[in-house]
Amino acid sequence: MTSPEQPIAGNRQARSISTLPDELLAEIFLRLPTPADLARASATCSVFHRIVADRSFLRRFRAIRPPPLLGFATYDGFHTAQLPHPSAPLARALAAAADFSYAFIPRERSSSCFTRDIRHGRVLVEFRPQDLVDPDGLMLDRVLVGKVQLAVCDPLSRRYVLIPAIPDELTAQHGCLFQTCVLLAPTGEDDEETSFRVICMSWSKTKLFLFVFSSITGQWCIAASPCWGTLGTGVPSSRFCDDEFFCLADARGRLYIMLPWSAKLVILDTLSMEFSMTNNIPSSPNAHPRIVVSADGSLRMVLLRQHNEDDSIAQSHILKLNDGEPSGEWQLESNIPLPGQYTYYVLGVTEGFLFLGAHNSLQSLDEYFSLDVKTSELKKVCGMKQDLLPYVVGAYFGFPPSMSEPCL
Amino acid sequence: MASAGSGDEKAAAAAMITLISSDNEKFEVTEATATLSQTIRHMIEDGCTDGGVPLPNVTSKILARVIEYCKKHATAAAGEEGSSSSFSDAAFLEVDRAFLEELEEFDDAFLEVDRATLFDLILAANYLDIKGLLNLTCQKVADSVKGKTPEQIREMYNIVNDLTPEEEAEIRRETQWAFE
Repeated sequence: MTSPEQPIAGNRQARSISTLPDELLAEIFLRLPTPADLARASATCSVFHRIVADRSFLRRFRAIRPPPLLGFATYDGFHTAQLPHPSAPLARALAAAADFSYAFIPRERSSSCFTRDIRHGRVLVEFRPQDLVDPDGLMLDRVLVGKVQLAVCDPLSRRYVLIPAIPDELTAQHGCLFQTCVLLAPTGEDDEETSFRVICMSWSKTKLFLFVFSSITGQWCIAASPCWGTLGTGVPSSRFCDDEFFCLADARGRLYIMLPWSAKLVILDTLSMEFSMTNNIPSSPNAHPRIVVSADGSLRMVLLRQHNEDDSIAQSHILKLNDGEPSGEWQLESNIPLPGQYTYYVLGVTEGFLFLGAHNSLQSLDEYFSLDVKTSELKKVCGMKQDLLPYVVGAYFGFPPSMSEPCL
Repeated sequence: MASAGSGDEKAAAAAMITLISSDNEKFEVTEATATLSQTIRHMIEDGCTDGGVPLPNVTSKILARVIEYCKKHATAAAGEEGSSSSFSDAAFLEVDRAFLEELEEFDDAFLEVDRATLFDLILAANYLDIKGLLNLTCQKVADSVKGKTPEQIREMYNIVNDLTPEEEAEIRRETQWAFE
């Protein structure tokens, strides 16, 4: 029989891990590499569980490591990472706990729901009346500002914020305004908090408009409305597809805008309201360049190239903007060979990642890959039916439900 | 780097600090070595180190190891300052790299201790507020837990499972994804 006076170790001086104070056990747990390691440690004994379950501890744990990719949204739905992706078990737990149909948001009965963006666990969804959706259930291209209902929600906690329409007094004097990109942007404050901004990019014949909604004020304002002339991009040409508009926000509150009729990337600092532009984006007939902004604000461009007729050699070239300065040169950073025997297509771009679809007519499913442009890491995320051609609008990075907090 | 570093060492050598362990052993160290500890740095700033610094929470065995760590890393810090302030050419970067490698080797060897000593080092690093040492030792424990099941962690560290079956089932249900 053992008693407190005779520890099993035999040496009375010997310390065991249980004698470390909570704050030092917390220091150890903070250094565990993955949420799974943390979860297993917490199942060891009541002391470990109490430390790990503590909200401020979990905040620290989340703050010092990037959350893993759990899935991505297309306009029409959410797709979780599947095996062999390392996040597959986590993604399954997310899918089981969250509602990615957004059924908890009140809406017009006949409206269609489209996902528009994801950031920090929040999802921006758009409800369109039937006359703005084509018979195949796709979004109609050209929509006037204020005609759709926007909402921001947290699919895990099922909380939501209905975003009011952009008020007439902001738009009336500007004539016909078309909405293109709507996206979530950080407030510049701590992103763990519950505040957010929604940016709605719109255009008219004469100007580009950036409307910004802040959850703090609960109101829309015009953040910027430069004339095409001041931007130096030229005026909208008559022939372009609204899909070619592109707008991304980085964590520092900068917006990156590509216009369908211009080869330049426009960068707007939403804090100082200063515009800058890059040199022409190099393009080639068979490789449409994609701009990817990483969380740290570094800018890269990805060119997808398939050399042979049988597509046996496919590569992805990553170019980085030198010094991060808009006026800098694009320089080749890396060439990433892609698995052979596939035809590749770009699914979309999210912060730090390019999503690629890979098609092989001998397989029943297309493979979807994520490419981390900073590390050049290519990972298979999931397989998808071939009759879909979804566009990836946002990636979901997060911690498992039991380690998360409501973000609204 | 050698000439830049030796100046710093000379200046530091002038000021010696006496550290006194819980079992009354005295250790003479340079100020540069002692001030890796924020706790001691504050005591020096407050001018209360005359007659030695008593450290009632640290045994001589552990204090000797802590001083060994601080000596090595104080030299490294002096070396870095010396090289980065005045030179930046390839030769000096090369020296820096060799130095960092040597430091890493030192840290690896330093961590070759039994578990009880490791925990004592964590407590001492925390008490003396030596960030590098606290990070190093906590990371060592975290690495040993990495990839292990709760059963393996209990066995490795002699931990008694005091969770009720209900609590354990609840935790398992919430964190099912961690066991796949």
